Amino acid sequence: MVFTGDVKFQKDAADQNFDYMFKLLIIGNSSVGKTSFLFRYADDSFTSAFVSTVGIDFKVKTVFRHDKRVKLQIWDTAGQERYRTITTAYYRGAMGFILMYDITNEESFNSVQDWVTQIKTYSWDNAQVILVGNKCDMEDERVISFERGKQLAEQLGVEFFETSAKENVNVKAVFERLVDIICDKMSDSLDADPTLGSAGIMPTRLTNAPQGAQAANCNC
Amino acid sequence: MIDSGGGDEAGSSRFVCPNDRQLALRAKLERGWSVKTSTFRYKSSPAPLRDDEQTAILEVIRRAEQLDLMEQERVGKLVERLENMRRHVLGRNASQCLLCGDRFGILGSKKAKCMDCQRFTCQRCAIEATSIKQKRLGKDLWLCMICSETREIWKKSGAWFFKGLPKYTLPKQNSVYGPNKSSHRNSRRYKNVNDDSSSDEDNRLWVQTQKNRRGSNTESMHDAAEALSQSHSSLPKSLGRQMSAIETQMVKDDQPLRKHVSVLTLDETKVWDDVVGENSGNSSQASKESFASRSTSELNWSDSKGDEKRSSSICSVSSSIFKSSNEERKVDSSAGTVELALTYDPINLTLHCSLYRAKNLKPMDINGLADPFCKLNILPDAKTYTRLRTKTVHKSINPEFNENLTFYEINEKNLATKSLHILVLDDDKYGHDYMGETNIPLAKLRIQNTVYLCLPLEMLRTEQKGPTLSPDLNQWLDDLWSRGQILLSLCYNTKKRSLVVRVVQCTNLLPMDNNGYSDPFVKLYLKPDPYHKKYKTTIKWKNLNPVYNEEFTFETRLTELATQNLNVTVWDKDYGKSNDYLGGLVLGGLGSKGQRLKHWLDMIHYPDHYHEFWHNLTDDTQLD
Repeated sequence: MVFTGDVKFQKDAADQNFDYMFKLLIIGNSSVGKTSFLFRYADDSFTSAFVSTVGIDFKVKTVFRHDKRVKLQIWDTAGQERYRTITTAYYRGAMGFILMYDITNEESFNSVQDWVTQIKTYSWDNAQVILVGNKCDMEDERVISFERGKQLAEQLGVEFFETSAKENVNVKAVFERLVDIICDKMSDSLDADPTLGSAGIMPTRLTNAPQGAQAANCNC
Repeated sequence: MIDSGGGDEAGSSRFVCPNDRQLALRAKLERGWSVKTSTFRYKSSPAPLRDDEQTAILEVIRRAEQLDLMEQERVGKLVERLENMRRHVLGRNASQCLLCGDRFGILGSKKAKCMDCQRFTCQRCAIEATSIKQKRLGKDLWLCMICSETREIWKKSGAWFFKGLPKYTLPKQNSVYGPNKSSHRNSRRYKNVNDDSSSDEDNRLWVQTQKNRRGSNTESMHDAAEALSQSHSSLPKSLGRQMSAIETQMVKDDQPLRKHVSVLTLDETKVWDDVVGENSGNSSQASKESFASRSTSELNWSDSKGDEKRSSSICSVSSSIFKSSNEERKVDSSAGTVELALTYDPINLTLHCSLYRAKNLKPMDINGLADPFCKLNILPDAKTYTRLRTKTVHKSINPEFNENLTFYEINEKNLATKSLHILVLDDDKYGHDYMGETNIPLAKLRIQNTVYLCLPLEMLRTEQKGPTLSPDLNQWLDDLWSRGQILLSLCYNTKKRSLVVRVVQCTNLLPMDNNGYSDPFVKLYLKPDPYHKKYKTTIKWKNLNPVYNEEFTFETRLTELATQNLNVTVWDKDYGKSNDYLGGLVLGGLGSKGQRLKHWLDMIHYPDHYHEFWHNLTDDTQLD
């Protein structure tokens, strides 16, 4: 299984045939199910055995969305405090965050605010966040109601899903929604500031362009 | 579960100083006290990562780096493509389409104004910006191809998010093919990789590449991409390369003279602009003619050394675009280096080039030496009368030229746009073999009138294939490649005890008939040959790129081949008058050098194998 996973990674990672590349990050307390969530999405596999993630890991998956091939590099982070210096280093490259808590674990829910602070501290300010309450298959042990989660999400101004990696509930939906949000942001950012594109790629060229006769030849 | 990482020595801080009592006790132990401190566990910091954890994390980081590198290459390709588009715009004024140069008007193309750059293109060179919100205003909105490509890059590279292009790697400019590699290369045919291209755009470019490469071989898709960038890029690119060359040189060269390397803080972006402007504005506009002369007087050494000492600072290239690409690019100096000083005299409008020497050139002869000389020209707009050459230094791969060469009528504007091209060639009875070249943008002289340079030579033209650079260069290198190339395959067959010569094909032959074609055939003979065998291929009518694939055998002994020459001549068949000479070459142990010699020796050293090489045809009529 490890082997097949590796082959898949090789194939997906080496595939250069895509339009956009988004980097996503899954964060949340230890043992809320981040790794399971990612495995369910990337490999469609699930194991209930708990193996704590060492530091960081990532998987690559290419999805087809709105006629565009989007390559997702999904980072799975360790929830444990001791890896915090490593994991926060990857916040900066992430365009989207999946902030996860465990609906059977009050503490993980209470930490959501802390994680949001972490995102604000370390990530780009236009990074998109989705709040996810995982393990919704364990209805008997639920301590955080859907409403509480929903309320918190609204408070934070992010979207909210309840998911189950075990039962494969909403896993795909979360990623698709996040990709959509990022895609929307992308076209917004270009439309809002059309000069951004051209100016940003060759900033000095445009500003230093010689005036007069040369301007007619400018190959903007 | 959660490893607290907390130490048992609560309250101790990381930078703890042991108290006197502890120190005294440790002194008695006669052990280094680092032993003790190493066991400290600090509450404030978590436990250090275990080895296996570190390995696991490093493995992940390694994988991520691989991915990043691929991404950098991908973005690099996008940037490269955009750059090529920018460089090849044809429109010169507002009445023309910016991109394709078509005239607007009733009979001409429909105009479209790009909403990003506000310039006009024809509607074929623009796309309707349908997805844009302003659409509801009822106006047609257009984006020119370049601006839309820019937007695409902005999106595809993630620059929209990070507010700037990420680090990227431009596709490699050129690879330096050592002669030893080329035999492998030849066995792979171009077609094998042709079906690999990923998009329409690429396909279109591929066709161009194919044309440019003149049916030559490529190793891989990647190679082709390089060739593409070569053929498409003209000055700005070489400028960038040059800058990197200079930088690298400054970093790694340890020759004593290098200390005096003078320098140039030049506003490269500006230069780029000028150059691009010049290119697009089609440089043919009655350009300032420049003349050149060559003074053979020896250099005044004391003088130039003084100059060198005066100037020593550091090269700084300001343009970020070059920066990012230069970092990745390594300069191969295996083709040797050339040392020169350039002085610009703004009063007399002259450019003095003091060519001191070249070093570590590639040997071309059987004795490991060469007969190098340099040809200099001002590019673009190569004019035959601005060509200068040095004398030939015979039998040396470290030739001392020590010549002053002067170009006249070079004004300040020329400096911004032009560059000095130095071509090192091997002097040979049967044409000149290519040994390397370098290109020096003259822009640096705008800041500083004297520049001392030690530059690595580049082997841009692989093997003896035709030029793939800009038409400008082609023109200037005309006499080297103008007669086309021939692909020959040689094999010594030990069973038949004979040399098998397969004439595979010719490319870019000269048109001799008034229909614009020639009717070429190839004549072959071995000299000296006791059997006096002479062969002809069939005639390929009306064809400048004939494919023969015909084999001929010469009975001879392997030991004799070293002293025999194979004469190959290409002719245009004419009825009623004598055949026209199209070109020829000599392969052999005595009569050839460089690539041709290598080909011959390969054939001798590895019998029973086919050795296929491209060769240039020369105009030497002594051959027939």
